[in-house]
Amino acid sequence: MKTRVVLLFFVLGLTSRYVSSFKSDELPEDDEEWGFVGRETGSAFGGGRGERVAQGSSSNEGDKRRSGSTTAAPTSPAVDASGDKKIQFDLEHSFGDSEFTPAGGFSARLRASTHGRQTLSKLRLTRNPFSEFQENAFKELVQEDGFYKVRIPANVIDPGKTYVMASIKARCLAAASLKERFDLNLDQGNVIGITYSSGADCTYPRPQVFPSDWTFNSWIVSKSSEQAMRVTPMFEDTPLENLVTGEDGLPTKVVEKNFWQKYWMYIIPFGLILVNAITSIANMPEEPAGGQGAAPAGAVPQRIAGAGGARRR
Amino acid sequence: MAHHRQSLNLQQQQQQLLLLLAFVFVLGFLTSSCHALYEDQVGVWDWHQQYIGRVKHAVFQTQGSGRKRVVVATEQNALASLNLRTGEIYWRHVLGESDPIDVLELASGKYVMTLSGGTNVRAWHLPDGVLIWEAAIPSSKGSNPPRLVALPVDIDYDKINDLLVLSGSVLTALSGQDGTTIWKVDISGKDVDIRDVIVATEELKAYGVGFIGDSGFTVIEIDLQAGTITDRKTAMTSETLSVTELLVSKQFAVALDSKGTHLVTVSINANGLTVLETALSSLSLNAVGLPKLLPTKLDGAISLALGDLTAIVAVDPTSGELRTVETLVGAVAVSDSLSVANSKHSVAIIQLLEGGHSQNTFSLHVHGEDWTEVVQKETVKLPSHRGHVQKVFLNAYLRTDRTHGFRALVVGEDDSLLLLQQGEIVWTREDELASIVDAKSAELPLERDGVSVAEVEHDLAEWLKGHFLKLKATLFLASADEIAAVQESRLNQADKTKLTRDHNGFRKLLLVLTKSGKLLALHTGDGRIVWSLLIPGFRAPHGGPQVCPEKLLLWQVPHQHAEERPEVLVLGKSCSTSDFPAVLSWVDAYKGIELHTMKLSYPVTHAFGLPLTDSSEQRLHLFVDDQAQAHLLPGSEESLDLFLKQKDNAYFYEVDRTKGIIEGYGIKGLVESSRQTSSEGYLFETEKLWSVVFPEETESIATVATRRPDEVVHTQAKVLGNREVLFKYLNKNMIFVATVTPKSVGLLGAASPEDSTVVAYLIDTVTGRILHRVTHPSMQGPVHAVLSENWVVYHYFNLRNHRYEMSVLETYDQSRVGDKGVMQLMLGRHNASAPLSSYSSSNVEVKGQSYFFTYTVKTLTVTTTARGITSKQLLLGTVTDQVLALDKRLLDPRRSATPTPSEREEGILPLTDAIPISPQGYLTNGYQVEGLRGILTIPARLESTCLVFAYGLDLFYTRTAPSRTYDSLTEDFSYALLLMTIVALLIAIAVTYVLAERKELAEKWK
Repeated sequence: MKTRVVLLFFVLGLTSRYVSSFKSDELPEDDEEWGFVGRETGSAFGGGRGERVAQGSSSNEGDKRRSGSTTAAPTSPAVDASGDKKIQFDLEHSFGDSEFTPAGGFSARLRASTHGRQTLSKLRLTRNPFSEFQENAFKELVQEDGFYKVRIPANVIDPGKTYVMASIKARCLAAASLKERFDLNLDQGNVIGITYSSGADCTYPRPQVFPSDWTFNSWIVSKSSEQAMRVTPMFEDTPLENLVTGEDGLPTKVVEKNFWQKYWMYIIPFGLILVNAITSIANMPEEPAGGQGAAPAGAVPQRIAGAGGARRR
Repeated sequence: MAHHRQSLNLQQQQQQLLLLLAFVFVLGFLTSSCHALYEDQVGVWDWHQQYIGRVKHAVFQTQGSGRKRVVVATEQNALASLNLRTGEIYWRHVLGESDPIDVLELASGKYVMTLSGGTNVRAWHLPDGVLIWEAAIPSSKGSNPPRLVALPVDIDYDKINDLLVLSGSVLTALSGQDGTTIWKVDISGKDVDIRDVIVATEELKAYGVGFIGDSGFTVIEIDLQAGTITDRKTAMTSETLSVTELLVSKQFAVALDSKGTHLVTVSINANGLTVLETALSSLSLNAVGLPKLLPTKLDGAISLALGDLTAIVAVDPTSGELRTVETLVGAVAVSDSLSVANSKHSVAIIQLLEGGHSQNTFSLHVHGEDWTEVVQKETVKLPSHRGHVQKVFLNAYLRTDRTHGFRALVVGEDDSLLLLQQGEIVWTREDELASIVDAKSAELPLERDGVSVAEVEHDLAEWLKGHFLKLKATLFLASADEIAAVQESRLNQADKTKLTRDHNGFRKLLLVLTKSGKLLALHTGDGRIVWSLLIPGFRAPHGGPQVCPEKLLLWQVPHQHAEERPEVLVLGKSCSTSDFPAVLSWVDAYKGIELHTMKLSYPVTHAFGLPLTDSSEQRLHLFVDDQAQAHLLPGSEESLDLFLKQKDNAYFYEVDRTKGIIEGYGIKGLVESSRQTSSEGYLFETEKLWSVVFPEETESIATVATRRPDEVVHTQAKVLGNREVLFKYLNKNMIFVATVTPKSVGLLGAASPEDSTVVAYLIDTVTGRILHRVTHPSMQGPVHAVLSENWVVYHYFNLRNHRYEMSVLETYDQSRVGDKGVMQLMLGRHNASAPLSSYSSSNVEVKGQSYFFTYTVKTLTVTTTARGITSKQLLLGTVTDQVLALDKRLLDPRRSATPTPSEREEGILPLTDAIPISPQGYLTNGYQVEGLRGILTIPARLESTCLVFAYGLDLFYTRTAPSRTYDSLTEDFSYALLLMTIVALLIAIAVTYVLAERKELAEKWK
């Protein structure tokens, strides 16, 4: 039964693009609580740029996964109502060597479970648009094939001085027209690592292209830990007494040998002696008869058969 | 007529057939393969060497008619009895890591008493090393070294002399019979700090001697039979004392004052204590820095070190007056006083001769009762790789002319143990090999032209004779002597120990770096030392900062230029501080000569070889300093050009275990100014690219496993039984990290199963991507792991089931899963050859499974073969100090309870709960590699075979063939028998031909 659950899990995993039991970042369309999503606000940077908001790809993979995965958090509204907390933390970025500056804000829902564990869900990212200066810095990075770095606090509930950091070649981001993807490895309220990747493959050597549109297209995946599974074996069809430890320490099944396998080493020499004897008997009467007798006529095909049999071996 | 011919043809056919069959039989008989080791194969290709480590205590047993022996205790916590004539081990015990031997004494002439950690007293039977009794003394406060005194009297009337143990402030009398406590007394008091205990046998009194605060001495008198304090005497001093060291003798005690300018002597006599302060300057001793009292036990004298100077100062027991008797310069070792007949005392002093530096010549002086007399004077020349003498133990013997002679047991700078007598080295023990830090292998030189095989085998006739004997033994015709001769010749095969490369790649050099800064080359054939070198660049100047060897790097491995010599680079760091500049030393691997040495101006936190070599096949190395800057060596223009081309694709990572952070770095530009100082390496700025932070309160790094940089993977595709293909995810930059709950780091039971977790990570070290993360709840460390190809195996403890467990994770690349089927793979319509980039999106599938395992594991590694075709074995160092080989197939995550026929065909085993252990799986056979710390696997040139070198206190070498030796005939294949069979067949053919001809002729004449 357990095996079947695992299999189901793998099958579902294979159908989706990302094989891992992660909690979806998908924003259900009917979620009222997250009102700021999609809201156009005035920007501190001026220039009439709107604050752009992460657009998750709108597939329902997440829901599917959630149903397949046993580790995904339940999403019943009753739990939602009980003591969930909305938290926010900064995403900071740096262009090559520059200092880290705020690049946007993550918001998430913190859910405390009965065991004192906390889980983060519904991660959303609000990206600040690039300023003129930042655009130029980014272009410079693309030119020199430098790294665009991002970081978030390691402890998002109570941000301290330790940050989890990741980086990407600016060219990779530019080539994917600023389609970015964050994979956050979460453990309760802690971020252990971020994987920051672009939407496209980006192997060396990388082409130098500049983004035409400075809108980030973000995709956030949060991954929580997977528990090790253990398949307990059942010996159904192999009785234990038939499993014998072999020479190399591996259990080997005892297979009953058939008659030929057991005694071939005796049969062959015996057969050879027999053939030899028959031959000499066959040769003997030739001399007095001087011609064909009844016995040699019968012996010839027999000899051939015997020799052939031995050769086949 | 036609019929005649037919029958003749048949006859000939038949004869040929018979011959053919006979040949097949003989061949089958010859090649009967063996799968386990037979008794007579022990020692044919394996060897085992036993060591004890650096000796810190030694006592001699030379009285009586028994065998002369010396009992030693070592820094590696071994207790051993050695044959004084040969240095062989009579018996040996290795105590646990937390069980160092502090005191070693002989009692009653037949017991060896040891005191470990101030709490454990053990009595061992001297002739055979059997533990007679063990007593635990409750540990008491105090960090002073504990003392053990074997009393020369019996205080509990059982006719066996008893013991006194001072541990902290508690003095305990133990019965020599069985270790029971006779009495116990706490001799502490206000500010009282008792350091040593002396015994006055006649009065049946013991005296505890120590400090009061830092300005006085105290002597506490204890009645030996009652165990009660009978008197306390104190004496105050005007100077404040340095309480680090107090030298106590029967009649006086000496300490230094806190400024290091005066020696304070207190005389102990019936009337009380008399304190006398003597300025060092008045003894014509001018201190350079702080003087230090040496813990050498001299009778009526003390020794102290003043910088480069060692002084011996005689003490007048009644007045406490001091007198300098000897000042010695440089490397000096002074033995404890030895009482010889007529209660005379002798002391040995070993000193490097002036101008003896190049020769490593020492003078050994044995001083008599008063220091003016030199009883024995010898000059000894030690091999240069032994370094200076560090310790000397003196022993007396009766010469043939009834005078007293002296021999000295000395410990060399390289930790070896030597016995000196009559100016000669009687024997040497290579005990530096007990503390190997790092080991690597090197190829031997190619065989010179003109050396033919016959010459090597001495003689063709001898060769044939040997094989004939072997043949006789195979056919059970040989006599006992002949069998012994065959065994002898097998064990001492001439070609086994040659110093040239062999066709199968079994003969290699094992380069081992020891803790004492010595590099040795061992021959894999018989384990002998080919050369050894006490690395000059690492030798501490007298009293200077010591350099600890840390890592052995293969600097140059010539492949194309076979005439070039391989070179190794030894990296040394300061033993104490981490910000001390590193030392590099380049050593020729054939000759064992230091080619050059360099003191870097920066400390090295981590060093690694790059997959780039220059035209002379020197490997490029990066040294990362504490500022996370990278230094490129060798500092040549060529290597810089090579590296600059690859700079953009060079990344490294650092693991900070204390903070629980792993950080990844990329290489930025070259610092131009470093071109001028390129001999120290070109300096590159780095930039931090990623970090992984483990939450401090729930996870701490237990282990990090990386792939061997020289690992060869044969194929990326794994063909399944149903002809489908799985693609291994072979990321060279993948590491495995295991974290444990910080609470459960300590001993078992430190944390409950609920809050103890092991988390396993697979991390790409270029991007910092966490490829996989899996938690094992209710598990506890320590975690041992090995990473190879696309899998990782790790070992930990299951708190719920109270058993050890091993888990496996295998990674498969799902992004290549489209190319299914063997046909497509064969026809080339696949993308398996497309390069794998950390920057491309990956789709990694991880399969995992856990199994129970019986044993604790000390170390874990995997076999490697030349081309990676042969299946792998896991090599485990078990808690019993043996090496166990486990087939990797046992740890396959795809094992299922009922494998389908196609899975069976593939070789998948039915799932079991636990990993079975077969007794034949022990590579060490009946041996134990005491104190096993590491296993080195080396691929042989023969694909089927892997060489295994296990080291700890002992060394063990063997070879293993995980899939049997499918590519070579077995060792005992008899070429002579084959040759003789062929000759016999040829003769038989000739004879039968002649016979057939004759018969034909006879037939024709009829």
